[in-house]
Amino acid sequence: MSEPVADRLRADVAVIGSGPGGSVTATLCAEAGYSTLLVEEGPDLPLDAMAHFSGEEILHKYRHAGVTMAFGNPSITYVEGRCVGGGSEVNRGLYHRTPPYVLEQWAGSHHVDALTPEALAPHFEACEATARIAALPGTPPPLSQRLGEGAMRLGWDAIAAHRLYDYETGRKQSMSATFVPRFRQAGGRVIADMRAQRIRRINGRWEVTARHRSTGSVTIVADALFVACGAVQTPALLRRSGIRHNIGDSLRFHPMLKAVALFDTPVNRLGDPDPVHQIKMFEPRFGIGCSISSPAMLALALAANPPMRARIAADAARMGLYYVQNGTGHGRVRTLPGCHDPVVSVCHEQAELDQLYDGLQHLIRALFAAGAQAVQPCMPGFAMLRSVEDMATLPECLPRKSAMLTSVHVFASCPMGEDRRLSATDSWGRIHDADGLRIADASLMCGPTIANPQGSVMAIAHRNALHAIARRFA
Amino acid sequence: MLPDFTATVGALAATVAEREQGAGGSPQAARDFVLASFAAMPGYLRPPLRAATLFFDAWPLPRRGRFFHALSPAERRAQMEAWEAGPAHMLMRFYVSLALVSLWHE
Repeated sequence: MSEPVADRLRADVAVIGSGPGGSVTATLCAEAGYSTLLVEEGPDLPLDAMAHFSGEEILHKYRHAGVTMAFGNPSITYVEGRCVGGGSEVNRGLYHRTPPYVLEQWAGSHHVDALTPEALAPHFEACEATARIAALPGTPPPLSQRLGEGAMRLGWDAIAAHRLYDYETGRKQSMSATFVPRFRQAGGRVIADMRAQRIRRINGRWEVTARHRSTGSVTIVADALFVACGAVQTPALLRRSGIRHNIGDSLRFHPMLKAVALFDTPVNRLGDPDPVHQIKMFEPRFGIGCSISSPAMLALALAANPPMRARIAADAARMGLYYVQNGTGHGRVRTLPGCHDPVVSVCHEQAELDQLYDGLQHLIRALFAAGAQAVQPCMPGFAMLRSVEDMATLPECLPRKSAMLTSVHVFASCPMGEDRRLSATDSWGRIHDADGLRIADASLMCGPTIANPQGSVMAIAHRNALHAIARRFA
Repeated sequence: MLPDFTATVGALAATVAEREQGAGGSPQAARDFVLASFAAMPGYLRPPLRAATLFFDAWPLPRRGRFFHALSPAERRAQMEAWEAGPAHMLMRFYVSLALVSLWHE
């Protein structure tokens, strides 16, 4: 049980949510000399408190123990972190800067000011220095190399992605290991196990009504407030508080389809570093990459494919799990009266689903080109494929009932920009007509990046926090 | 005797464990993991899922005179495989997926 806190707290700045956006924002505010509270709904657990991707980690660090769903046809199951450090604690830490064409698209579609690669570069550099972004030294694991080899044989380009990782100590990095210690060192205070319920403007200050696990009801009063609860909880909190203009109307995902390949030799040995190869040349239609391929992750992916699953016990070392993802799915976040948790719905455009399915077929081709003896698309009703020729047996279109879409990225629920018809905030995260109230998380993105969005979230939070500090949060 | 949610989850986890050759986890740990996941899931999902689970526990009653959780392992497995092939496949996949995570993490 966490330490009790006072039932009334006062700060210059309060940041609700300690994921990549909230941690970066809170650190800069504390270092600028403001008394800053960083409030987190989940527990404060060390990065290595439990094995990554273990059942224990799922129960303690994932929101709703990983059982979260956007309802649609097809639905998307997605995961979010719920602990100090947020999503950075539970993801693999793969890292990319926002592709220039994506920034150009956002600037055009939502009229975002000063969002060019050149303008963002110093913010990426500043975040990368603290977050320990690094390339894998030496040779990637065979599971990863196989994807690269398959791409090469087909004449495609593959890259080895950077990660938030300290390769000297062999330790994954996250906010709890990087920005949160820096925040504490600057005098900031983290309060874990406290859920913000509502916010309101009163007497020129922001008042947050919260519930702490030990103390119960707590009121926070702050001169400036940043909401950084993630792309689902941020709109939920704002809508509960009566702030609704373009809030929660445009949630986006990076839904994935997966396939398991069985190779002739071991590719997946205990103790191998995490795989890093990605095929990015088809983005934004789709991107391809490797997944964690522990027996548990293989079994979960193959839940609807018993024949391949039955081989895990004997052949896990020869099996690799791979994914294709794109930006299909347009979601909404809504709160229901009397309900603690927001409801998320999603609809799809057929063209985007077709692109994702095309991506799955590209992935299967790459795996056979890499020497796979068999490939199992991870969907019910799909047979195990023994050769590229077997792909002729695949359905022409992705059957919506079979599509088991999963996503580890949610974003864009409260996009930024000067176009008020589409955006929830201005170009710097200030909610329109809300007295300086700011958003500082993935909600601000204007659409999919296909690449892993954590770098984008951190850099945009860094840019917006400096902008806010320079204007004394006006 | 009434349908029993915890016993049904335990019976489902045990059935998955029995057919999952090579998995190192115990049926008890799988049951506990499923119950802990259920307790953490969004509040609006729990009542319908609990009701559906109790309904399926009672399903064999008219034909076999016993709840699902009280059937023999062979009967449970046959019943579960029938559900997996029918309209209940989504509910079964939910339970099977959670049980698999626990069984294969050990």
